[in-house]
Amino acid sequence: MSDTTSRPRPVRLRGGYLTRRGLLGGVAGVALASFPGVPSARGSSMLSYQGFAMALRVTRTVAQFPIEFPAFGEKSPALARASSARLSSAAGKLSPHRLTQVGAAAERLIADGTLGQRSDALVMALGAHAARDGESGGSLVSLIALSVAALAPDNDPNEDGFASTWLGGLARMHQQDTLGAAVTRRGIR
Amino acid sequence: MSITPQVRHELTQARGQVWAKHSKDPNFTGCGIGYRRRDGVVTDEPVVIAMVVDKLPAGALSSRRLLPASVRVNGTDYGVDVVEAGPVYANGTLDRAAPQSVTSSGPVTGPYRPLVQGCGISNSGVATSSSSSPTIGPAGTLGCFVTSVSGAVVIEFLLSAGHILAGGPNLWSPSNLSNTGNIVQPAVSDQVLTGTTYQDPVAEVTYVSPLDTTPGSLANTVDWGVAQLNTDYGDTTFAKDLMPPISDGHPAVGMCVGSDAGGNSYLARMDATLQQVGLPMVGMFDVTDGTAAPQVGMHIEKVGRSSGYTSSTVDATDVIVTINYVDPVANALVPVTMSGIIWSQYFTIAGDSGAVACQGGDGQTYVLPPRAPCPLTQAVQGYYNLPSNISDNTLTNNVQAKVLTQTLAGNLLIGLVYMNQQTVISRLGNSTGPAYNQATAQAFFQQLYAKYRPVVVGLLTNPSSFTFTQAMATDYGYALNMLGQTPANGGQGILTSQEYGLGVWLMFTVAGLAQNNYTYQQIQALLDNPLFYDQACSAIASIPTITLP
Repeated sequence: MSDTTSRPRPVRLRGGYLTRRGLLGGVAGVALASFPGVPSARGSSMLSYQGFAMALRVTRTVAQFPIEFPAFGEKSPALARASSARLSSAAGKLSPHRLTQVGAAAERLIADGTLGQRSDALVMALGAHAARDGESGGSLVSLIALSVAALAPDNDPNEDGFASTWLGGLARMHQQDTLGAAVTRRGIR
Repeated sequence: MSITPQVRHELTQARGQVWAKHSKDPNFTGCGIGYRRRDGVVTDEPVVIAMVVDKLPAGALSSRRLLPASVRVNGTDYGVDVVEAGPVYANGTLDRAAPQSVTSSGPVTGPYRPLVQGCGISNSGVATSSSSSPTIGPAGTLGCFVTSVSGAVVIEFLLSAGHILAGGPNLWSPSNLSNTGNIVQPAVSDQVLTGTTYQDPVAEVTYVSPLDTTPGSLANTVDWGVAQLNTDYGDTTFAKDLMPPISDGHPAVGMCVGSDAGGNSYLARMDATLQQVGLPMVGMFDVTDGTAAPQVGMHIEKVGRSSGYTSSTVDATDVIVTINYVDPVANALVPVTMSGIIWSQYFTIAGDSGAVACQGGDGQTYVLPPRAPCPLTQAVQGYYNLPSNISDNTLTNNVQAKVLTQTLAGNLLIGLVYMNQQTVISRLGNSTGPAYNQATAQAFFQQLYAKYRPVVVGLLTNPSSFTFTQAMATDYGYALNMLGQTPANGGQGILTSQEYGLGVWLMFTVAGLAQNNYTYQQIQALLDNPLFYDQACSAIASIPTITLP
């Protein structure tokens, strides 16, 4: 077994680190509610509170855009299901690799400055990243898959599944220059 | 091999029974008298040939719609052979694009002076109140020349299909001043393409046979018009000398009037046409000189504006068929029932209307119709801006033939798609909210298309490798919501609330498939389960906007 696998290397985040052992730093200057770090199913990985906050914002976006996320048998509306408790529960099922991917994706979005901006800016950023990443979906697809699993727990957060559809749709809207109008007209919160 | 008068008489009665019972079925195109085909081979059994748009499995049809295997007349059972044909459209073409070179001899779109038989012509245009420029008539074919002799005065007319000379169905009458009846050669659309104008009319319409548009009327047996030549005479050779002139040894059998996208061609009888015209062809004495009655199996040949020279066989006679005429002024389809029609295959395409078919040829110089996607596929591709992949037609046909037809619910789905396709086309054609909603739907359905087309191909190639996943269930639920949610909520609002409810009901089944990772075989078993089938039928029957097959 290599040293890399036995001793996890930190993943560089803007203003902090996301490691399998814990958060080493934080994002300064962003006012946030206190979000818990999220233990993974493997028990040792953590998502920074900034990363978690970003993931929650993404989940709220997926819940609303471009349509309200389907109920799939649940009674509460999609926005209510985009809760920190459900996100935490879904994140707990993530493999270490996927958790790393989620953290990396959150960092990309935080680097865009979208954490403190309106949701429409986040959608635009997601569309731009998705278009750049192409079919692979990059790390973003892991983050969206986590959101989907929070909204509809039958979905495995470790599989791209519907996340590739949602992200692919956004990428196409970005490329077809229709994303801005749709976001504005949808008026997401 | 020929059908005796007695058998033909009884088959005509049998055909009448089939028509009377099924003519109102939207899947029913028409029926006639011919020989049964087995595995593509023509047998010697005379039968009623029933034409349907789609041959649906018996299980997908109610007993009311099921065509009989045979019909009894005077104690004799006559078989009914079902073939796919239709919907049928009049063979004029409003297409402004250059006709494809679908045969080595066509199209015949150049200028001809003197006029020759088989060249392209059209009405110069019909004035309308809504537009400053006249509506251009469909392009068709100059059939032949007829003549009126009164003492020393000889007048020549060109004879073609009535809807070509009139510029559309029933668009010409002596009192209709908006239609001058000016005939130009080449056809207006062909002049536009070449950039050369031949504005001077070569003939002026004298008479066009009216079409009775009363639904189900059997009064229409011909579709013809005559126009007096402005030039001295017409040349009775055919364009490019593609076939010999009409004569007693090369008699005229039919006039091309309609065809479908599947290669089926329909002709009015030439003897009946000339009897109504009341004038003989040039060089003949009596009106029926130089004509022959159609016989099943007879070889026929023609020269037409779009497909040039072709030869095929008479596959049925005494056909009753509904032909859809395009009215370019009203921009509407006018269905007209025609009777006593000849059915042939791979003989004509749009733009050949008016061409005269003569007895002769090898019977197998065919024209294949330009490939056209099915209207439903076309509507979906258009609305969602999907790739217009012609192979998708083959793919959907394979899904239908290899997957859906194998189960009860699969056959139900086939019937549902057919019975409700016009509803889908209409809804997609109407506004479904602001443009941004459609743009959003386009992006997501394009994504679904890109994601699932390979899945479907894989399913057909190797069914045992297929497993239903949670991602598929979630994609289904999301697509359903995009269709069902209102435009104000970002959706398309294409489904009614009841239809959306049906989709949600089905979601529970879909979720079960995903949770248990159903294989292809397990899914097929479920779809073939009578209990599931009954539940689906009951659920669908409760929705007034969906027509059950």
